[in-house]
Amino acid sequence: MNRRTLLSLAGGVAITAAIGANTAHAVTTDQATALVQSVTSQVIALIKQPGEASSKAPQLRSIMAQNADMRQVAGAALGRYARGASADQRDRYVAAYEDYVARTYADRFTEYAGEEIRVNGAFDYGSKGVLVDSSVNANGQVISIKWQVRDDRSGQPKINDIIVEGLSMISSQQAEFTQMIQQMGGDIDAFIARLQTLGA
Amino acid sequence: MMFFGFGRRVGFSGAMAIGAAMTVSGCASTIVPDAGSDPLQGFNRAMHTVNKGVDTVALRPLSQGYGYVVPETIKHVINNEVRYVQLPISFANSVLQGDVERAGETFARFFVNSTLGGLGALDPATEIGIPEHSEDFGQTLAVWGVGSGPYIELPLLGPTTLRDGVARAGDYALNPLTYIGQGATTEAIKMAETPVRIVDTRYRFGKLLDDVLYETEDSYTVVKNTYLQRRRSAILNGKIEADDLPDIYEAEPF
Repeated sequence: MNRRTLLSLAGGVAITAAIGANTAHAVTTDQATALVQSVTSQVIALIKQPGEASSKAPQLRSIMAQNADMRQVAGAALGRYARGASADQRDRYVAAYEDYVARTYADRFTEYAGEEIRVNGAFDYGSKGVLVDSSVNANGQVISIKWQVRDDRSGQPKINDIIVEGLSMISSQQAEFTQMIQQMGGDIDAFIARLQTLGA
Repeated sequence: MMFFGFGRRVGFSGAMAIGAAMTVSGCASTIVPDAGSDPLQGFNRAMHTVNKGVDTVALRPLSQGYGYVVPETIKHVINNEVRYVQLPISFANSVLQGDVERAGETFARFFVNSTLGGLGALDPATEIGIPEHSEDFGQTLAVWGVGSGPYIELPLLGPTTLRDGVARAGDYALNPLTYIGQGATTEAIKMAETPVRIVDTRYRFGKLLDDVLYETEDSYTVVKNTYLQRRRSAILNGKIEADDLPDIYEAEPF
């Protein structure tokens, strides 16, 4: 191997590394689609398992923890109150939030027989990530479910938001949570205690 | 009526008064109100209490009774008819919005369900795969650039905005049933249309609306937020703009 080959090899590595660094934070439409397909098949398998819908919440919670950036999602749902929360409050809130979401979504499984979810396409939204468009045919009604997928800042594609028939989960929760906290005079601890019982 | 803005009838004098108010207030160009601004909140919350009471004592039990007593097949036909009679309004609004594709699909749906579907009793259009669209005059005004004005919760009619409330008069004018003769059958259909639609809707969204109204801490806020998000989605025909997506990495790591 002569000097020139070595140099061009080094250059190639450098360029590859540079491209790699550039794209490390961009999820491709294929990656996003694969993630959504994996999540929906896990959730459908869970729904089809025998047993009460409410008993499936712990498993749903772990599927969400693996595939969505639940900590940042929880922070976004807290809206303008996120900044003022202490480290300890944040930890307790995130735990209560994950339980709350798993509980309320598992509860909705009762209305749903595990129909196939069809992925219709995935669209690049630049810095906002990829939006995967899917639909499910439940009782003759076609319901649109869109998934926002982004890099979680460590190279892993993660679900950020779910938009069902135009309703964003984060936006809905943010409206509800911030109103609750405001009515509680900004008391985050009181809000966490209330969240632990909400929908239970 | 309640919660997703289905009722369309509004007295003309009332509509004119609201229309005048809208002109005076000089609506901004945003198609939905800013989520934070709710100038009529005092009135709205009072009306929400009224509406929730009406739901508890009348609409909810009525829709549950409807669910138990009426056979599945009949409920299915009623739902088909409820959606069928809206098609001319959707068609007219798609035309007004200059949306040729949706106008064509809605016309095709109306033609197929009028003929093969026996005047809307059955829904062969869905089986063939003709998409269903719901366009109203509020969406048309938004497409034309009219701002939403403030959020309003009307007694019995439920959530709306100034623009969408006024627009109900437009849909009344665009509805062919408004102009069809005086026969007893036509009169009966006109009378029954709105109440039947309300009960059918309350029945179909039963669990969801129960959760929203009775299982949330502040149902007023949840209904308002849900209505405004759904309206924006309807106006944009389900498309999502980048600005609509949340940015959970905007703040420092939580």
